[in-house]
Amino acid sequence: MKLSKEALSKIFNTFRGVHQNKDKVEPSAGWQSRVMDDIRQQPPPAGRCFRPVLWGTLFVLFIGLLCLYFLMR
Amino acid sequence: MSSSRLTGNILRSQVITLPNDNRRGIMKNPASEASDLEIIAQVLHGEVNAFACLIERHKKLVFHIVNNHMAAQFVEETAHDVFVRAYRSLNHFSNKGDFKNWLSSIAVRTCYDFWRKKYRSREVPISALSDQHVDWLERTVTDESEACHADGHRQLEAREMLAWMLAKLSPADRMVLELVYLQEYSCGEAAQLLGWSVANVKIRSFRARAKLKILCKDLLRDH
Repeated sequence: MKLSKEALSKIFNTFRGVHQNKDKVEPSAGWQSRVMDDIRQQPPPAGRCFRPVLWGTLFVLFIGLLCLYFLMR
Repeated sequence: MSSSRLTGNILRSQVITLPNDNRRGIMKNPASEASDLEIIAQVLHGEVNAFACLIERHKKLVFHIVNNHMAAQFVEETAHDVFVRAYRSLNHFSNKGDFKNWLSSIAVRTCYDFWRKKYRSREVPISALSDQHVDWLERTVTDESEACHADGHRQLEAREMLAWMLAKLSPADRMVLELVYLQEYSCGEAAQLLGWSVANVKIRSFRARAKLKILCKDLLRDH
């Protein structure tokens, strides 16, 4: 059987209708508390200070190495 | 327009805030955005329990997105992963953006990762199609009326046929097909949700549709 463009769009329209009329799933009782329990066990997300700390550490390291270089000369 | 379709549209308007949303007359609520940002700041300062407010506020949206890409038995588990993932990368959230958009893209990408994992481990069960399914396809192709899927039996056959065809596609093709053709997102919106380029989404959606056409042709030829 030949599949024309119209036939294909008809199949797609049917699939779209079926997909959009899918039954909704609601969170069960206790779902949210399970998620929160899991989240409490996660390491804390690094705050906004992460980047300044990183660059600050690198800066101090650089100055330290520079001082070491001049002291050893 | 059916009520579920309307709800879908309302939820979608909440998810995507692209420039063309202004044409649709959708306005953002600055108060709710500000309170989301305040909660995020609290969580980043170590108040983990404040994250429960974000879950309470956005769980409906996340369940809606995940339900569009998953079978019912995987929805809760995946929505759980979405919130854990969002919590872990909360420091990467830019305060300039909309939290809903950010969470929506995490939800879509979590679904994509789920299917990638299943596809790689070949865990996706592909049930065999019966003669009834192929009959349904033939009837849909030959039937003149658009209401060929009106009764419950035919809807079930269509649903099973769609699940079978999606399982045959790669995860990327599956996601694009669901977003662009089944949920009617624009290529730009789908690209934003998946984190791909618009050109990539256009090409993939074209190829996915072509693959689906080949699957239909093969079914009709073999029968």
